[in-house]
Amino acid sequence: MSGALQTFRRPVEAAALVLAAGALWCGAADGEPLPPGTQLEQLTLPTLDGGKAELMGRNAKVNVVLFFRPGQEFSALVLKDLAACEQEMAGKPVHFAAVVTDQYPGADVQAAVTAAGVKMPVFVDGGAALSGRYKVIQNPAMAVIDGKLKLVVFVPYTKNHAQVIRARIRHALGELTDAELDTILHPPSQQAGGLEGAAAHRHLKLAERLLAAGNAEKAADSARKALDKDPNLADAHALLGAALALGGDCAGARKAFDAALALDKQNARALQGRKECEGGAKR
Amino acid sequence: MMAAAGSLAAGEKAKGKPPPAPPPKSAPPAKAPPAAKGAPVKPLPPLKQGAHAPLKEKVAYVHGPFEEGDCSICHKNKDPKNPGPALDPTPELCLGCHEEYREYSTQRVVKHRPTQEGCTWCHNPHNSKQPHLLLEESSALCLRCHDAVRQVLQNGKVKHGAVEEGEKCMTCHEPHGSNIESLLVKLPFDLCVECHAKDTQLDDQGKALTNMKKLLDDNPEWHAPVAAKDCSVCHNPHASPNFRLLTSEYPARFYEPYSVKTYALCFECHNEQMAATEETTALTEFRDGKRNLHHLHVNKAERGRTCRACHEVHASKWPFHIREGVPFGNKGWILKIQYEKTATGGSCAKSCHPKRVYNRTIK
Repeated sequence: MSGALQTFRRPVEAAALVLAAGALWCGAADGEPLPPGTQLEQLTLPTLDGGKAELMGRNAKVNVVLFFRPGQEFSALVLKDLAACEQEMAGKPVHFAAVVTDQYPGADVQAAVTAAGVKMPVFVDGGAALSGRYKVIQNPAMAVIDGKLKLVVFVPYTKNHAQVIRARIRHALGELTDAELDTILHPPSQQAGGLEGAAAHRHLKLAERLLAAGNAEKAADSARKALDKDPNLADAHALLGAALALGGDCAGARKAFDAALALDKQNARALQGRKECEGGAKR
Repeated sequence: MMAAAGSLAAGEKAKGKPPPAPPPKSAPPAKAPPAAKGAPVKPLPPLKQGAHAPLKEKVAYVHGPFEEGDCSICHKNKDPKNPGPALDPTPELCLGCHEEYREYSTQRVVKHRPTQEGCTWCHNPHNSKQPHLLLEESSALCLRCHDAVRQVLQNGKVKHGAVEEGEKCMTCHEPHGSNIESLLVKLPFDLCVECHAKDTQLDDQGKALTNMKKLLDDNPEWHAPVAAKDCSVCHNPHASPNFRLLTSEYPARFYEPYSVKTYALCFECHNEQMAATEETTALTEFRDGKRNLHHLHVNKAERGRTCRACHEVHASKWPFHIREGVPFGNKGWILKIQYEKTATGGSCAKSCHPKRVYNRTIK
C-alpha cells in the first residue's frame, strides 16, 4: 500500500493496457456516453495498493464500476453509499470496483476510500485512459455491467442515486421486473392520495370509538359524516344502524343495516344488528 | 396530504366549546426520545412542557375527537378535568384512525424520525391555530430540527420563492415519508419543472426566469444533470449565496479570467483537468489531435471564454448542448455558431473566429 500512496503522476501500466484495448469498445459515437449494450472486455489494471487486479468480477452477474474523484462532495456521498450497498449485497453475485484517475495524490485517494469505508478494489486509471474510453466526463458516474460484460447503463450522480443504483443492480440480477424498476426510477407523487376515502374512514373510526363509549347520538353523527364522504362504505351504514339501535330507533337502524347489506351481504355487524331488530331485542 | 393529519378538524372552524383539560400525561416527554436506527445521532429538540395541552385562546382548528368532548376516545377517562393517560402511545393511538399514514412510516424508503417516534412531535392532538393541527407555523416547525437548512436560509443572499410561499416546506417535501430522497414529493426535476413552466415568473431582482418546461420541450440536447432529472445537482432549492441559487460559484459573464474557483460549479462534476491540461487524449473530445481546445478557449488569464460562451447550461438543439449563437456587440446581434459534429471532431462557422475545424485523429 505504501508505494501506492505516492502521487500517481508516474506512467501507469493502465494507460498502455487500456489504450491497447482500444478496439474493445464498439458502437459508441464519439463524444456521447457509451450506449447500453456496448460490449466491454475484462481488463487487468493497477490497484491503489500497488498490485494488479481484474476490473470485472469473474463470477459476477453484475459489475458496478464507480468513477470517482477524491475531495469531491458528490463522489464522497456515492462512495459512502456504495460502502453500504456492498454490505447489503454481500453474498450476491455483484462485483464492485472503483476507478480514480492518476492525477490525484495517493494519500488523498486513500483518505477518501477510508472515510467512505468501501471494501471494493480501487483501480488507478493512468492518464484517464479508462475514463476516456468509457466517455466519463463527469464524476461520479457508475457503470452497471452484466455478467457477459455488456454495459447495462451509466448511472450519474443524482439526489436519488442510492435508490437508483440499488434498483439497477437488482433489476440486472433479475430481482426486479421492468415495471418495478420503472416505479423506482419514475416514482409517482408521494403525497397521500384518496383523501376523501381516508376522511370517511377516520369518521367511521371515531364513530366506532364513540359507540364503544356508549355515546349513540354522536356515534350516529360521525357515521353520517363518514357516509357523506363515502356513501358506499358498508361499515359506516352498519355502524349507523348500530348507533341508531342503541339509541332505540330500530326502524332507522333496520334501514341502515339494509343499506349496509346491499353493499356487503356478509357484513357481520349489519347481519347481527338486523337479527336483533327483527327479534325484538330493540324497539 | 397534511390536511389529512388535521383529521376531522381539517377545514372545520372551532365552535368555541372545547372542554377544558389539563395537559395530557401521555404527551411526548420534554426530553428527546432515543434516535431511531440509522437516523442521525442528534436527538430531536425537546418540546416545551405542555406543548400538547389544549390551547385556551381562540383556535382555528380542533381535532374531531377532542371536539366531541369525550376524552375517553383517546384517554383512559371521560372527564376533561382528569382524562388520565392516553389509551395507547403515539403513533399507534393516532394510526388507529389515521390508518393511511401507517404506510408512510413502515413502507416508504425514506422515513421521517418524528413520524416514527410520535405524531405529537409536530401535531397537537387537541387543537391549534395552525392548519393540520401543527404545533407551530409549518416552516418554523421544520426549522426547529433542520439546523442546516436554517443556516442556509439565514446566510443565503438568494432565497427560493417556494420556501417562503404557499405550503412552504411542504410544497416539495412530504413530511410523513417518501420513496424519494429528502422526503421529496416528486423527483427534483419534476418538482422544479412543474412550477418553472411559466413565462411570467421573475427572480428576486425582477428579471424574468426561463420557462424551463418550454425550453426543455423545444431543445432535445440536455445537459447531463438535466437528463438525469436532478436540478439540485447545480441549484440549492432552499437558498444560496450565488445567483440563480447555484450551489457554487459560476461565472455570470461571457469572458472571465480562468481559475478553478470561478468554475467551482462546473468542476463539482467535471474534471478540472479538462480545462487545465494543454494536451490530452482522454480528458475531452473537444481536441485537435492532442491539443485540448477546452484549455485553449477557457484557460486564459484575462479573457477566458466561460462555459456559457459556447454551451447552453440546460439544453439546446445542438450536440453537447452548444449554443445556437453568441452575442456580438451591444446591439443584440447574435452570431450563429452553426456547430457541426463529425465522426472524429467538428467545426464552428465564422462567428467568434473564422470557421475552424477540429479532428481528434490527427497526429
